[in-house]
Amino acid sequence: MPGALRSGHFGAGALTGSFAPDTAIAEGHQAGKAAAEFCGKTRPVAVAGPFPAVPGTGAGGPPPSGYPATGRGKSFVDFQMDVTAGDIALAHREGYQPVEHLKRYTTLGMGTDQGKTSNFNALSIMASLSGAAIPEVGTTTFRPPYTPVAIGALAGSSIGRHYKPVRRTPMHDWHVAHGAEMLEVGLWMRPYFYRAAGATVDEAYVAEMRTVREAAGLMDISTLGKIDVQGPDAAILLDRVYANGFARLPVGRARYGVMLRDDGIVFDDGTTTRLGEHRFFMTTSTAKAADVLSRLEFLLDSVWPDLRVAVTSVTDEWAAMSIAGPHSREILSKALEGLDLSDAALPHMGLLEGDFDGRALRILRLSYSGELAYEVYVGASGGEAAWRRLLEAGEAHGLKPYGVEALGALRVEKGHVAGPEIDGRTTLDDLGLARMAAKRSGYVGAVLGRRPALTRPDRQRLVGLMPVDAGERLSGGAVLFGPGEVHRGHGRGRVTSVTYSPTLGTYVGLGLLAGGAGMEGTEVVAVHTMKGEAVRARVVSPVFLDPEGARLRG
Amino acid sequence: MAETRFHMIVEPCAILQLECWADSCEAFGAAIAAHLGDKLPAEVGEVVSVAGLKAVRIAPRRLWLIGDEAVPALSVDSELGCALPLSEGRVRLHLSGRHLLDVLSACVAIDWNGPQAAPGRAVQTGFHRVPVLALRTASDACDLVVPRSFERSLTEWISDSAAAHA
Repeated sequence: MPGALRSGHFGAGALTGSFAPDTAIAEGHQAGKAAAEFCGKTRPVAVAGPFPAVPGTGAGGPPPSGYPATGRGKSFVDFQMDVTAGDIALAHREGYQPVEHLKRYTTLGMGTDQGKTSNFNALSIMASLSGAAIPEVGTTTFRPPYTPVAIGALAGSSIGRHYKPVRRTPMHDWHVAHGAEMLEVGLWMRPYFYRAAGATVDEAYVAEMRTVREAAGLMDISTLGKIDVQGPDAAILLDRVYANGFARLPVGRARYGVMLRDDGIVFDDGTTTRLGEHRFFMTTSTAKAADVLSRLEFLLDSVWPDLRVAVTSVTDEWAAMSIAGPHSREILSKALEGLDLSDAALPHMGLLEGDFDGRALRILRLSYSGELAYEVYVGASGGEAAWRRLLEAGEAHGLKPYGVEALGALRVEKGHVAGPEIDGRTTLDDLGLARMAAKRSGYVGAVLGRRPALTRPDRQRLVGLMPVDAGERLSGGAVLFGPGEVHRGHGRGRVTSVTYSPTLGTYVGLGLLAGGAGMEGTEVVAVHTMKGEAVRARVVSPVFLDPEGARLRG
Repeated sequence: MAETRFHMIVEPCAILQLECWADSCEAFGAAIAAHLGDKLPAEVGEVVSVAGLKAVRIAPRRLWLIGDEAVPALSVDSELGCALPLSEGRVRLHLSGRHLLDVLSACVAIDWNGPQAAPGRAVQTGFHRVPVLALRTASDACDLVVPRSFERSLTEWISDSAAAHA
């Protein structure tokens, strides 16, 4: 044991380098006394020594080498690599006696401790079997750490509340000052719901949804990943990383895109806007922002180094907010006077660039909720001012802020997939997005996405679910069974996302079900064993609201 | 005499990022240098003053022009490279004081005595795994250029570390 023991710690025996039993006994007695004194217990003890000699032991030094006297069963020498004394004997019989051979034959010392806890005993056994002294057997290459190192030294010092950094959006202080219940989303703090809308999240999110559907809501979406993609080959890069094409996207227009992993599984989705011939503005999900950037950098550095493209995270550059609802255009026009927000000037999936108090301004007409909606991007330092401006302009129109719970609920009503569906197991076809890439090839994931297991007709695919009894509540994570089936095992699918729909007056859910859209009109049972629930549900289209898209077109 | 107390001032940070393509770095560098009227840093971590700005090579093909106020826009030939303003997304922490290195040693893993972190050099590192650029401005002073969204979290940590050395 290198170094000195800490205050209140007392050692004896091999820990202190004393291997002989009688020395260990004496040291143990002394350590016990010292520990008692340390604790304030100084009562005399009955046994004070000298202690009886232990036969057959010397005065100290390391233990004698030799093959251990094993009883029945295995005698483990290397607990990390499961090497037994028998394995070492076998290595000896097979001729793997040199220590480097012994190591490779048995995997001795290949664990994370690099043999620190096992090599001495193993070499001792091999020395005994070979009739040699331990130094003659030799040692393998000795690697650091040369002395025991506390895990804490490797992990870093205790930093208390700073263990995890916190990311705050430009509007963070406004949210806190105006009664937002904040929620950790990765490292970000996001408004979960606003207490002005309800005392509990269940009350508040439904009220916030109503506001968006009937008037207008304002949501802080600054946490979305944002990537600047520039260069003469930028369109080629996007054509390859998205399953759907971007090369023909006109300047000033945005397009929803889906990326696949190499293995054909959906990786992330988002919207990319063409700012110029050679420049695009990509958004990613909040959760995958870093992964997508890293993926693009990897592809450019290693797979297509010939492409002249630069990718840079601009997530922190922009404060972003979404204004959604039937009054959103009037409010935006009032807040940002002089901008032409007509359908002709800013159609659905269109871009408008401008200026907000001397900072760059981008307005994208996109809808996640299914309502007429705009994403407003302002230079980050002007984020809170823009947020306040919009709220002031929208006060007379009933504009109110809404949080991530309502955001998630609105997208469920509209049938948009998100993290619960893009869960690392689903394909484009599973999510009802196969048409996007129907006639394309040459994009990441295209080849392996055609493997039989990913194209089987019985794969679980996206469906909508509504309780047969409108008063019943669906639960996310419930397993789907056919009527009358025994509720055991993995069933026919699962419920991925659930919300109460104030528009429909019932809970609605998205799920992945074997047979997918072909099961529409049939009935399933959503079983949540942990909650003791079994809810009859009808399989419906995943788009619960406005399937024609009339609302989002204003 | 060295400043004894630890100081931290948070300020905006004007940045223009310049990046060349793999096969055009020489021409790109020459064009930018001609525009700015001075030589650009050649190696990663090198900092040079040009046209009232600090030019920092933060990657083999990537430069940052950092200014106290605004950084003028540069017209870049897209056949050679590109430019991207980054002035909204980062803030600069001016740090100084006798215990500067002790304070920062609790937060970032930089060998402040090594040549790569000598006064006048720049080092990119992870602070809390957050990418930051450290500009060593003097033996007892440095600027940290940090992402805006992490600014409060990082300044709180630095403040707590500084309190331990007060």
